[in-house]
Amino acid sequence: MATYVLRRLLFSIPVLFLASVIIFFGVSAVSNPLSILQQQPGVSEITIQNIAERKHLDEPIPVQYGYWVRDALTNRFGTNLFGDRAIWPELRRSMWYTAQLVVAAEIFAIGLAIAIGVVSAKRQYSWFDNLATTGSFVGFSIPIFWAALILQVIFTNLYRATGVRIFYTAGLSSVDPGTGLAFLVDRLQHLALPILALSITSIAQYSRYMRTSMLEVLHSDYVRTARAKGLPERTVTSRHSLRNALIPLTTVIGWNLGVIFGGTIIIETVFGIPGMGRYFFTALSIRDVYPLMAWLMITAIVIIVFNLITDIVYGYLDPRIRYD
Amino acid sequence: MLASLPPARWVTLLVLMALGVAACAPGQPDDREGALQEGVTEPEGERVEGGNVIFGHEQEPAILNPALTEGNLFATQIVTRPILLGAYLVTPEFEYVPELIDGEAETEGGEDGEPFVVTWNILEEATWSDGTPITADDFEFTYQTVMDEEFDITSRNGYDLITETEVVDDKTWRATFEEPFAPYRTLFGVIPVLPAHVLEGEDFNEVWNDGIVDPETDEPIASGPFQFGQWRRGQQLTIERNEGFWGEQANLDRITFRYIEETPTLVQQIRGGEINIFDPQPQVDLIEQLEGIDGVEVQSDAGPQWEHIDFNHDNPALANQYVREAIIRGIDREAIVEQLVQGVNPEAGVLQNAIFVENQEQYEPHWDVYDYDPEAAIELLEENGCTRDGDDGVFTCDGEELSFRYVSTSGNERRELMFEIVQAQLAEIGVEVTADFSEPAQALGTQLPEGDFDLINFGWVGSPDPFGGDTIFMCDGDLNYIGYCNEEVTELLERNTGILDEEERWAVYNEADELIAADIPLIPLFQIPQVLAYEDNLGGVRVNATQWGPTWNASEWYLTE
Repeated sequence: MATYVLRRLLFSIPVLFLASVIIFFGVSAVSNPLSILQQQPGVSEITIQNIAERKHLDEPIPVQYGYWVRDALTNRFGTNLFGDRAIWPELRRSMWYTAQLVVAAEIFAIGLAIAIGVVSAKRQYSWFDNLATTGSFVGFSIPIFWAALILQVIFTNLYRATGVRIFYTAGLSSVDPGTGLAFLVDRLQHLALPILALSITSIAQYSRYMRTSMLEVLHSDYVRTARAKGLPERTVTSRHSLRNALIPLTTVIGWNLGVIFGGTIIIETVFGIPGMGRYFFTALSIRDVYPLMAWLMITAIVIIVFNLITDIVYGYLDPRIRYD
Repeated sequence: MLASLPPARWVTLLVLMALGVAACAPGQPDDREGALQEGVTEPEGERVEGGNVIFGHEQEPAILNPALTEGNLFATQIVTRPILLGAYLVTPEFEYVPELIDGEAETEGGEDGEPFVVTWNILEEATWSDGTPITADDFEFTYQTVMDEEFDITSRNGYDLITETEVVDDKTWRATFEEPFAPYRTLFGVIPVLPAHVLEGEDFNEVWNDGIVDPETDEPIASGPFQFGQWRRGQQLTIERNEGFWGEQANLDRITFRYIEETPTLVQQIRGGEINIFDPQPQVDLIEQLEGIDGVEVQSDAGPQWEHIDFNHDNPALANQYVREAIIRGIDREAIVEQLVQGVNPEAGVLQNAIFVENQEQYEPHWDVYDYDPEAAIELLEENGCTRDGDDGVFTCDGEELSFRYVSTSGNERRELMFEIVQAQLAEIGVEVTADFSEPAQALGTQLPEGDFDLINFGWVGSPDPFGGDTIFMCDGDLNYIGYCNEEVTELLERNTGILDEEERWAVYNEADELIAADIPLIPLFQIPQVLAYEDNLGGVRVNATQWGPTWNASEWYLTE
């Protein structure tokens, strides 16, 4: 196992390197980052020169890339272009907010999807199963930003009609969120809609996988044997069927992480959450290549690590799988 | 999603805006308090003392230092404007009103080769929030800081023409210019007066990144009615009443800026009472939607940014004046304004001056000679020997087909719609345009300066005083990307900063505009409206379309029950 993990980690280094080269050269080639300043009349030439010198923008792009690598490795991605401010603190804060959203949405989606999948499989072709099937098709088809907007409209209408605030439509907390339990409740009221919007597609997808895989297991010989032995149905379902049915789902969840991150960018923009998505858009809108590169590297590392975790969990759930 | 991303709104262009804005016109309040209260909203209902107003804005500032390039964002300005005052403020009427100084700055000399001397008399009562008087040392410190090449100061325009400064006494500061510098009111405006007693000896590139505070004590420091409160980065920034303010106290306890970049979300936020006010993008459907919300009011005014289509004079066909005239006559500017702008600002009209915007007293509509007249346009081309030989019906003049590449920025719905209208209208007069839209950094950052376009549509920020925008129309001017040259125009524009008599200056500019209009180097179209949407219980609000922005009179805001 250790060899496998090490090998995977070593493989990811050239992947990261290649990705960083493509992005750095791509973004740098598209436009001169200082053009934003240069196209405005009256901007002091000395100031533009200062920035160019500080960031080595007068050097060839490969040399600039070299300086970036040095900063990334020795100085936590260094500083941004215009203000020479440290990139890491803001990136770390964005990661924390995104993590809150992604983890909560995934836990919510996985929990609900497993329940739906199991019940659908156990009661195949029942009204519940048909409803879940229809629901998952709808969930798959809804564009995520549209779902987000509809949720906002629904809860705003509810507030205007009743005067009762159930969920907020944007932000992470209220102007004065309070402390302790009040803070927690306030945070939940703010995160509820983004979590719901972000998990709609995941619930649809996971519950389908769960249903299929559960059906397969329920019809397998060993489950029939377990029943024949006289084991109670609850034990058959939870101990013998569920654990085995989870194996394919684990892989899907691992693969899905990239999609979730993509969805997060949209959700964070719509709900005004200062996470990785907004960080990316802000850096892109002002053409600041340094925070963009840092964002890319962090995202790539997260995805690589999660894929690795998926593989490890896979091995745990199915002891026949070995990575030697 | 990218297309809906709000563009970073930079303010440097707006520097042009303030330059030499007229001094107070007759009938206008000439004191600070009067100007702040003129024409504001007065909702019914009992006035509430104190309270917190939540201002939704699409972009978060990167830093709070308004003098540095990174603080050169509209988002920074709307936060710092109520905290740090300048020598003058600019009213919605585009007029300067003294703010930290006692009456107009005094000028002398400037004639017959004499040096030009400006004296600022600082208000006796003006103090910083910690009680320290605002003095000539602060003005001197601001000047020295701006001119220090170590610092990433956005613009040193005007300051770099000062040859000598003098702290005459505590409340008097004097600057000498070698030549007359008529736009002297622009100094200490976009860059406010800085507190010498707390910033002396500090690295100016590093101060005020996270708050306008004394770097030693972290206590807020302010010269205006509000002071910095708290900034939870990514979420919100609060400014609070400056209890030590030397002028009339602000009504509100606090203003909280919440940062949400999606406009549809902001609409739901104001519907649901999660924010009290925001400055929406001037899109027709959006404004209609906001106007339909019960309890929400919308105000708009013609803003300083004006859209235009420029001709690249290096293109052999466009180098001909008659081709340019045919094109301007072939575009129905009235219809464009009606379709694209009047839904937001019903008062909007076609901009008929390339130097002054319509809000200004100096505005003279020189370009109204170019009515929409497609028949006249075709006639003009035919008179000049152009022929429509091909099947496509496009004219050819002197062997050059009138087929042009129309460059503009992608992600801007208004510009895209405008292209469609222009394309259809020009097709009728036998002129073909094809779209070449790319991201702003590419279109304006690369293609514009490199002259890689035939026609290009973008916006300049209007200048009541053409000082900052002079080089747009000067032969070989820094901002003249279109290869336009008229020696007479250049001579007039070069002369302008030396003319101290305001009336005479404006007349010279209008003379230049008349000459420019005859040459048609570009087609002025319309001013982009500035809009504010707010709950109907919010009083004291008024759109200020200059770079002073919506919080220009935040001290006058109040809530009603």
